[in-house]
Amino acid sequence: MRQMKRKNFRTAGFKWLLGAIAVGFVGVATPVHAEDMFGNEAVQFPVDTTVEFEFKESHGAYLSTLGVVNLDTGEQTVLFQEVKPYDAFGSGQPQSSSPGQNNIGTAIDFLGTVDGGAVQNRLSEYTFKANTRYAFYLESVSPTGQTRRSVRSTTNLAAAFNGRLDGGTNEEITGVRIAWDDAGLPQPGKDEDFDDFVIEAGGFPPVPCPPIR
Amino acid sequence: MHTIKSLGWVVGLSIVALGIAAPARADRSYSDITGTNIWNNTAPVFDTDDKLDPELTANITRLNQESQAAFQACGAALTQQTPTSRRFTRQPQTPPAVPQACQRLEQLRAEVENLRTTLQQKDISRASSGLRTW
Repeated sequence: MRQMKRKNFRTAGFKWLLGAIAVGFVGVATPVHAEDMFGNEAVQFPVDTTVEFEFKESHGAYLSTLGVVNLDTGEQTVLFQEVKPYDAFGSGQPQSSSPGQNNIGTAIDFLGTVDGGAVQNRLSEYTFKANTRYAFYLESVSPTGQTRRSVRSTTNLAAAFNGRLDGGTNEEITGVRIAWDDAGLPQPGKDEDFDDFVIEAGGFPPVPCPPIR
Repeated sequence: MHTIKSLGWVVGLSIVALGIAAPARADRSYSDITGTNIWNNTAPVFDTDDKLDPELTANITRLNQESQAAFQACGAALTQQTPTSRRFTRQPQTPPAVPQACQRLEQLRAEVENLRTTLQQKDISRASSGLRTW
């Protein structure tokens, strides 16, 4: 009996410690999340999620602003804003116009870049609240100021999503590319160049805690 | 009739349960109850008085106390380190460093494993000591 008591005392201590350690390490495990939505139909996450965005390029003579709109409250947040409609604006350099063609990766059709000064920030980020519906919006103003357009990513006539937020880099696209057509409304003679404003989102997911052996 | 059936079930299940609960023991000794003299033949277990090494006991106690504190500290450190939101970035992310408190917990776990081995060896040597009568 005395031996049993001693043994129990010894093993109880170990059981507690090992149990505590096991619980501790289980608690570190990354929780499984419900499906993320990041496309034309919706931008919504089951948990608070921060996404880093990168401005790639713009084409066209319009001055554009891109941002996030909370569809529940209508609140808008600017991510990228052109300070001039294209890089060579005001320089007197002639611009080759190519409406209706996708000119991503070329200098054709009023190219706007960060390096050229059309947009000042290359990166931007936004924290999407859990279970809240969002969309992206693009506002464009013509050089004369007479034409103003506003389109949302909720239509595939305006925004084309390509990639995955955790997809890394695939064929020159990191994460999700969102390519815009600023005339993204059903209308006769509408072009579908989807190069008027091009951004990319995410690419690399959060890294879980290192495994402890 | 219903009550009798139910009672039958209860008794039957009790017998089965007792059968399962009773562990099979191959080394069990039985008293010799043949003949007129009844001898209790169960092997006597002499009190060997081989007390547990107090240093070992103190070590176990210390480990328990330290590991409890380290476990709580590790949990607190992880809570503090956990970001408030998930983050998808443009560049690959590096995994967060293991907090120092959790590293200490790991060290303690290694110590526990060593101590467990020591104790198991002690148990084996006690079990095979020459103090058993048969």
